[in-house]
Amino acid sequence: MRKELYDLKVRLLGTLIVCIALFFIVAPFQKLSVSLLEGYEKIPGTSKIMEKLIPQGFVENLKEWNFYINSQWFGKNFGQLVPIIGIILGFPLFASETEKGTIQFILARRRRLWVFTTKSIAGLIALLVITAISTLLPSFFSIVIGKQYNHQVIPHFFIHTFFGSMLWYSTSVFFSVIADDQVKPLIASLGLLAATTVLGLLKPLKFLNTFSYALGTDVFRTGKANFTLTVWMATSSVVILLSAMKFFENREF
Amino acid sequence: MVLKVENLKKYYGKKREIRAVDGISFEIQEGEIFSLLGPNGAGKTTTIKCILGLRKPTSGSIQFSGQYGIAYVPEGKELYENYSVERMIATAEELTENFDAKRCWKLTEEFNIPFREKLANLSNGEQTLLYIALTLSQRADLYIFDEPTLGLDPIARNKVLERIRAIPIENEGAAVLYTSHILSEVEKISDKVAILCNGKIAEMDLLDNMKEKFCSIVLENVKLPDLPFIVKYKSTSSENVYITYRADAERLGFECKPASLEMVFEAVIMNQVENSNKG
Repeated sequence: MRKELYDLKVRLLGTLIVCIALFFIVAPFQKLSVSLLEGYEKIPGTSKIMEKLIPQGFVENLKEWNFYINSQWFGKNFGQLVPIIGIILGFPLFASETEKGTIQFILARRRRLWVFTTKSIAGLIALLVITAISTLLPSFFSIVIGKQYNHQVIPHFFIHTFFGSMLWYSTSVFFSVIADDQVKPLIASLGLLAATTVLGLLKPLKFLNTFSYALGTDVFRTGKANFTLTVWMATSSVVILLSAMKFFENREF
Repeated sequence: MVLKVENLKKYYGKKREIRAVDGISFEIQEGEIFSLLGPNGAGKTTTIKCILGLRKPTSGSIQFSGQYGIAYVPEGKELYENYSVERMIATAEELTENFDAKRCWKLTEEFNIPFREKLANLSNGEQTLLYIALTLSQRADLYIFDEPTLGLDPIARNKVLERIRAIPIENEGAAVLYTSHILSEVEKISDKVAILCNGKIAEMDLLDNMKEKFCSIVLENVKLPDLPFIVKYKSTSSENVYITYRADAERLGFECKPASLEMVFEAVIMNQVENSNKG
């Protein structure tokens, strides 16, 4: 496990730094965002466009801290990164070892089940760390700057961000196992994410759009995590991981 | 017996038309150094990968008996280039059962590998030596070396060969499966040799027996005698050197000269290729 965590170190720290930096681009600028939007509304000719793009009362709602930080962090900036974080952590896990030939070094020493489990769990630990810290950021920041924040939504957002990224982590792990190089699993995972998102815009295929889950739309609306969708996300992730494991056990190197 | 390979076949292609390994059988006994020789594409690495479980055999059986497992130096010697030597040894210790880190440090020192250096900064030869040091520090029942001395200078090569030769002595009961294109190396360390060609074992015997079994004869430009095995090794303007079975040559009264492993190897491969072309 130490080796796997060492290998993940750069990606974990890099992703974490990006998330934290992104948070500090968003969180401290509530007033600026509101005044910018209000400013646009006052410019002749743009008010009609603004009405079409932004729901009524949105700018007013943004003045409220809970609405601002939840919508801008979970519902926009971090939320959009959630599936990509899963892909970043998953795609090189096996493909990098296959590409560099180092997979033989491990497989000559350990059973395949051990190798698969250790690598997958290490990736999940990294995923857990990134999603947990990123989810907790609004809570910590609110305490530090003395803003009133509804901390109760944090565990619910965490469930959505973790399982939302886990689905894409499992998918990229699957592609990583079947590929011989690192480019293919990255392109395949990103391609599938784009395809499901676009297809999910069609009403009958709405269920394909994983972003609505990852952004925590239900938490935002009801204050609670969507239990049914969470079970679906977790089950799908486990099924994909098990398929990847099966493939890895039978793969030739 | 440490390893028993029986009628091993590994075919590729949709119709299984590529026969990488085509029904080979051999056994490796405790304390034995067994060399698998053959030209490129003969099936040596595929056989090794089947033994290690990296490839699934099409048919046949592989029986390994031992309590410590198999240690392996692959042809490519790929290690983690972003690691330092220190970290690589720590990683090997983490991943390998029965790994002697102290011995590994000693070997690294003996091979003059700078231990604080990143692997990417080491020469190919140093990386190979590090891989060999990591493998020799593992207690195993069978040590597999696939072209271990590739890219090593003569001094390092001799050190490695000495170490390989010492494996059955230092690790009681341990055996070695060795492949190399450098036949002088094989001659130095092997107890038993198998010559593999087109996925089949063309010849297999104890090294001394194999060299004894064949001999070279010199013929002036005359008609070839009718022998079951006779292959032209080299020719000059006045005479030709042939490799044949010593028993046949002596029966027909030819003057037999000893054949080196290199001569035997070339003759066996040429004969096998000729036969398969005829077939």
